[in-house]
Amino acid sequence: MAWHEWPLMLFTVLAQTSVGSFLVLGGLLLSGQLSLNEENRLHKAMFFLWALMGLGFMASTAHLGSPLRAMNALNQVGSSWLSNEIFFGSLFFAAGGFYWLLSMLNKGTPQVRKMLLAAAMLIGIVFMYAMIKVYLIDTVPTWNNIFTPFGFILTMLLSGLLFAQLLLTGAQSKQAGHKLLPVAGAIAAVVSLVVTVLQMTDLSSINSAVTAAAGIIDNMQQLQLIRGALMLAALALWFKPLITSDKPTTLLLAPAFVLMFVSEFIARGIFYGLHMTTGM
Amino acid sequence: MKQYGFYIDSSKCTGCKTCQLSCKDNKDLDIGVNFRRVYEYAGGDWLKEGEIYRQSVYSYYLSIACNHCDQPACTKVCPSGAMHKREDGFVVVDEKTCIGCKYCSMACPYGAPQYNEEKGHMTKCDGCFERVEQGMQPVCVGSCPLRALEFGPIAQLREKYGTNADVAPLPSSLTTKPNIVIKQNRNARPTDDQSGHLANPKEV
Ligand code: SF4
Ligand code: SF4
Ligand code: SF4
Repeated sequence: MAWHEWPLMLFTVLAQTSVGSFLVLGGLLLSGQLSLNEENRLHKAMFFLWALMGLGFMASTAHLGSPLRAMNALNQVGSSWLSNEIFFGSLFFAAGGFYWLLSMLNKGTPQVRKMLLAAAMLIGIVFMYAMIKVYLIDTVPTWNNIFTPFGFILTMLLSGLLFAQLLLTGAQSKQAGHKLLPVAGAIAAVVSLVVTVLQMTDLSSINSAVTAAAGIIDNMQQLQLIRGALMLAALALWFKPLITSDKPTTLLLAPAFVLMFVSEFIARGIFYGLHMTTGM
Repeated sequence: MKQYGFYIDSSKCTGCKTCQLSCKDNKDLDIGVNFRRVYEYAGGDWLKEGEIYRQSVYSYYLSIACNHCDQPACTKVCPSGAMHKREDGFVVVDEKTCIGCKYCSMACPYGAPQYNEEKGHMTKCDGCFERVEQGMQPVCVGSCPLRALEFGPIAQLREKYGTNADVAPLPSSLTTKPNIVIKQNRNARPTDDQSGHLANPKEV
């Protein structure tokens, strides 16, 4: 486990949560299924989305040894995926934030705002792609495989969808009770469990002369069990309104989100903890 | 293009670490920061031959700094451009630009980039390029009492000693194209070997 990487663990999970939920909420806002009042309330609730994203960026600078030079991270845009990630991340924050500000202040025509929203969603997708590419380093065999994109996209789904529904519920939207979100979340959870088992099996095939991937994290089983239990607990809370045919409440979904977030946070800690190179 | 490199004679090296320490002294490096590191790769087992048991214990040393690779894994990922390959082939960190993201040290399979906690940025073997420019040898090379290290234009070293740069526990030389030539110890194991282990993890 790599607790010392907490800034990167926070940054990546928060960013994936924000972008994942932004894509859902943005799609809903573009689809025109929301009444004007619902839209207004949702925009207010989306404050928390930008708060999470902002927190993520703040955490990411804590990873740097020289945070005052953080601007230099953009020097290699085009050739370094880390530069690309920061570039598109900032652009997402700027475009999405600008859309949000215009909507809150009711400035700009609806057309302009919709264009901005769609652009921010696209940039968000590119941001997520860059974030995956950052870790596909050919000298790091434990990251340079299919499990990295799987893990990252699953965080967008698990944590992102739940957060989107939490915001919809907070905004008292009619869409808050939509079955699709928890059902998609459940499918993602099943995929996540299967992928985890496959990845743990795959570790035994990754070795350098001095490091065996399967032995890097000694309490792996415990960590995976805790992580899985948290995820299932979150899923149970998420599903409860569907089973009892109640409306979801923030009081229910907020703790569900916290559980899911911690579960993904631990998974990301395992991810960073698995770092090794092909050499020594 | 100019390109320097190191010749590392693992058949002579006794693992005395004079190179590691002379570099530390010259560059004034703190505990835990080593531009040159001496890796001890060791293994072996009991072998049954008829009624008797024989052991096959082995160990050998590899003195590795930065290989100033042709395809550096470090520069490829660096977001600030601080880690760069110079005209003369040396791969050097511009310590005034580095943001201390440690990404280069995650990518380098030779453990060459060494993070300096106090400075808040990355440091690394610079090939003693300032000395080399004045026609001198790198400090580490000159200090080796066994004469197991040599430095010079890599083309000359390869002409003299061949082109091998693969031995456990180094990664395959195909990935970063390191500018080193290694003379193997008689116990040398191939790059993808699994029979041994790193015997001195705290020293490197
Ligand atoms: S040995 Fe590592 S740090 Fe040195 S040039 Fe090669 S990849 Fe870069
Ligand atoms: S630590 Fe410095 S030299 Fe290394 S990748 Fe980051 S910015 Fe580049
Ligand atoms: S070449 Fe210079 S900096 Fe590099 S290991 Fe030798 S003494 Fe240290």
